[in-house]
Amino acid sequence: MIGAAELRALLPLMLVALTAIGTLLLAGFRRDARLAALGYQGGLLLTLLTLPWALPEQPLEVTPLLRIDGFFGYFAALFVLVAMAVGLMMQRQVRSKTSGERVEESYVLLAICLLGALVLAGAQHFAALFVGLELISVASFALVAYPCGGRPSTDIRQRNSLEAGLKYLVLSSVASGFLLFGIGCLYLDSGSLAFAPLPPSTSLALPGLALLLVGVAFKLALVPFHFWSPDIYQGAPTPVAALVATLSKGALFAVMLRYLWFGALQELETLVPAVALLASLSMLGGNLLALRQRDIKRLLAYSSIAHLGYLLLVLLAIGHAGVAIEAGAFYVLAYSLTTLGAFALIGCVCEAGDEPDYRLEAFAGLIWRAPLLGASLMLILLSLAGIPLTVGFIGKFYIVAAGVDAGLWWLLAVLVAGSAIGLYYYLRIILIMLAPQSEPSGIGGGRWLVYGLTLLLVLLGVYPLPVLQWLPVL
Amino acid sequence: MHATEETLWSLALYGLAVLSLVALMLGLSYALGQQRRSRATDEPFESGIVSVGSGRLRLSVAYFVVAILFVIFDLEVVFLYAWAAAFDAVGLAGFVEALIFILVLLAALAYLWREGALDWGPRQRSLERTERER
Repeated sequence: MIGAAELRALLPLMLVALTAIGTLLLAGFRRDARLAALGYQGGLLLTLLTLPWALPEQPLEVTPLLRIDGFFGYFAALFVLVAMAVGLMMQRQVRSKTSGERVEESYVLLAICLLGALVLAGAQHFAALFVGLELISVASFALVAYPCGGRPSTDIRQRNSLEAGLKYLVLSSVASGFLLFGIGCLYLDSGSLAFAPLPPSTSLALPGLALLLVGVAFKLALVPFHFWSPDIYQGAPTPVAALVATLSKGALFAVMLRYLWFGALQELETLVPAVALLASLSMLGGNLLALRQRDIKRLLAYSSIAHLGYLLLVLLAIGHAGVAIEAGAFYVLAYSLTTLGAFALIGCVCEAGDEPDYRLEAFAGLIWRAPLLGASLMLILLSLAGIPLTVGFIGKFYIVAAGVDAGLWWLLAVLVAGSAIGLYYYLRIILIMLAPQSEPSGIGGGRWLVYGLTLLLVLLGVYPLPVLQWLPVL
Repeated sequence: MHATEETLWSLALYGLAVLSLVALMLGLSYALGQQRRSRATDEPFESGIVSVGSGRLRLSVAYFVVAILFVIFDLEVVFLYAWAAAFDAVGLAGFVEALIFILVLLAALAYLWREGALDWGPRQRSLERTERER
């Protein structure tokens, strides 16, 4: 039964849902991009501010579907902040492209995505998992195909995003099918959809878990289920690519953490070889494939595949190392912050001209053209590579600590090898950036977002304590 | 465990039987049937009448929009039927929840109306109005 306490705990979800509806009505009755952005950011800010008040002291089950606790609180705050940053990027993208396209709806879709992520952060039931996942996916299909920088359906520049949207729709639906089939097998096996340990000695548990793993790997773009991700990143508008890279992957990872935490641990034992294989393939494959990329968005896509591979280490360590949940939670934060910074910078540098230029050469001589932006890019890349003084280092340190605790030695060796390969292509961009300028080109707007994200990235890298005390613990 | 395996085997056997039956039917008709190619072989069969014109029709976009609207409200009715069947059991809480559901859909309908999705025909007045405003 839903009482006052439950309603209070659900407040963040309700506020985000209200934001989506309110923005929709604003879009219908007043065509004003700035007003829609204001409504969206206002609603999200309100959600963020009321979040500490709304969180119950003790973990609270709101219906069998959701569980509102510290874990939810941490990820909810992170996802709301990510969505706000993506909203800012969207706003800037729109301001710089002054064709007559309609942008107000993008905020509605962003809010729906965020709602799905919040549901995933609180899910303790497969029904909630699926609803949350589909909320994110369905809103992302439309966002990926969003006309950014061209008149709808007439401009050749929209072709890329349409193609990306269609690919994402088909592949993501197939992945959802796998996931649903896996959930169905598990339900047939245990008779319950709640996140709980499965009854022992059953024949359908293994196929169910394997199908579930395939679906999740597809959505997280782990090698060998990664083929969609570079194409989507390349074709989608830059803010949306940032959203797909951070919010949807982070939310799915959060729900997997909770699933394993809530009792599927001994089931994992049977899947350890498969997950370990996925992790090592992603770490090596992502980094190797990124080596020869000439397109910054594709490069980031492969780098994100590798980062998700590092994160899988946490899932393997979860039963053995107490630090695993913390490590996963912090790494999601570090990865989201850095990736958002990278995409904000791409929006700022590559999309300054009439035609977006995503070649790595677009960064040539950036440090001479715009020293602060160049320095930001350097810090972001170092954070992606996991060099000290950045938040990426703390995140990777956490993961290695969890891996050492759990004794995953050969996976740690793969992680080190992958990071070493990764260093090569991150440093290559820095070299390109330091080269003398070949052709003069402008810098777009949106620098302040890049500066802010970079500052946060360094601050948390030097002094992570304020965040560490909020991390959910086992 | 044993029973599951047995049923799985029978399921696999059944699937195999279906596949072989289909293969047999297709193969037999391929092997025994006559294969003749003439001018009329590839034409669509329209009860003996020679087909006229192209099969590719141009449908007004409004048709598509109405189809989408129909699906949306059809789905709404599905949920409301479930609610109506359990009206007494779910009580006030169920009423409030159904009310929220309907209000959200109402907001979507208001948005669609403002977008001009409800204007019939290829000329959409509200779209023209927004064009003029621009």
